[in-house]
Amino acid sequence: MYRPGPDTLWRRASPLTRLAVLAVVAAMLPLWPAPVLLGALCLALAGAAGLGFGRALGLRLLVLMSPVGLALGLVHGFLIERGPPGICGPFACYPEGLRYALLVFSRLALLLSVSLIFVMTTRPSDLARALDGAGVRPSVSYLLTAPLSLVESVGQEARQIRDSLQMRGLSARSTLRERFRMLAGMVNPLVRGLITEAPIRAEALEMRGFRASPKRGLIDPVEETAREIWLRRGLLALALLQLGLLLLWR
Amino acid sequence: MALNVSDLSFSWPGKPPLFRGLSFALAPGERLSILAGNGMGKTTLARGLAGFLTTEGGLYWQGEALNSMSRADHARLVQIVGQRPHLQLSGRGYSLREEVAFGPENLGLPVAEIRARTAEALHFLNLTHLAERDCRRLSGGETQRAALAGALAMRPRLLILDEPMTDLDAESRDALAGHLRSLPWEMAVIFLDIGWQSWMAGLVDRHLLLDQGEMHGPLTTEALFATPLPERIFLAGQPA
Repeated sequence: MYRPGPDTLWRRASPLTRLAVLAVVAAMLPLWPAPVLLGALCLALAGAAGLGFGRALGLRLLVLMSPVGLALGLVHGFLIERGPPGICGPFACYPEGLRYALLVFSRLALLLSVSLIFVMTTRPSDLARALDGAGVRPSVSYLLTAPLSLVESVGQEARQIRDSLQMRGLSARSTLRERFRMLAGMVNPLVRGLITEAPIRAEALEMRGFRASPKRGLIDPVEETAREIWLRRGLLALALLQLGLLLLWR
Repeated sequence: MALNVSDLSFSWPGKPPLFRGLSFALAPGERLSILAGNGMGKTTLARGLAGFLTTEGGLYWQGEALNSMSRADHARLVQIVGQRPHLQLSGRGYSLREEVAFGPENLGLPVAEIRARTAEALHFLNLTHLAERDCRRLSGGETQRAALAGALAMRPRLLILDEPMTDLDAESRDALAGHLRSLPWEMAVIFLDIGWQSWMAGLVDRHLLLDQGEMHGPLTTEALFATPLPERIFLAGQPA
């Protein structure tokens, strides 16, 4: 999912600093009202445009969040009774429910967009190195980064299986039934492949000394300025402060 | 002798032995091939010889049992490069250089040592020009060499190569065989393959034959072709 782009302050920042920004955003979700969150979402989209993938991010958000938004609006605005009802054309709706749906939607959209920005600007290997550099145990950093690094190889595998199924007569572009058959045909070898390959990968890691020592060396040690380290600490403090405020309010 | 294999046997639960009574010794720097047909258990044997399986019998390196070694000592001692090299890439490194450095990094070596080993392994396998390439964008042959570079960067004393040349073109095979002949340190190498291969000429001079779980040999290359052994083992050609 990583996308190369112009050299910006965000891309130059350590992946850990970017994670700290993600923590600040995650902590603000339960605290702030929908307009603030939507404003932050607009900022995130503008930031993505500056990083060179605003359109790609916008499209992904649209595809992922449209059904979520629709479902939230229907369920909370029309199906669940929340506050006094209003009239929306021929239907009775609940304005309070719609406001709640908007709040949940803005929380999800903001978290998703910032997470996508993180993933699209951070190579899993860079994140792993940053974690190693910070002294995180190799097994923990592997656990945190493996899902990101596996996404692409699983995608490659899926494309190969799809091509092979297409060569044998199934089509991903015909009827819905054919598409389901294609999907069913893909799931089995993909999952089976992942399961059977897991011990081979584990053995290969062990053979190359993974977890042989509690701390790894690094071919390119992570170098951070004191300013960035302080910035990260400040961001983490801000995240904690928001969580503290939330606890106080409740 | 460096490696001592004594009466090594292995079978999957409820199955007949995949190999039994395997005994041989290997000196530092010595190269040996184990030849067997498809499905005869070469990959399992490779894992058994590397100490990754619970086998019966003895497996010792300079008198020390392989399965009693620490993870770090084991990784420094033995490396396998298998038939599916893409599964041997850790995925922890974006570039090939980072990927090759993965092993030395795990040993907690100093930066200068990690860089030296990485550069040496890349140079050795003629991969220096691909050092900054995304590992997932390597061709099959390049991935094979990348996996081998990752293994060599560990500077193992014993290298086990399971059909190492499968994805390589003839030119790359000869080049790799040439590289293996001129390794800068004494490393014992065990080649597992489906039969005698032309690139083995001058590189391997002792051969074991695995047939239906039984081991025959060791034989010299001349003796290998003078012996009336099962024809199915010899699929790949004749000596030059």
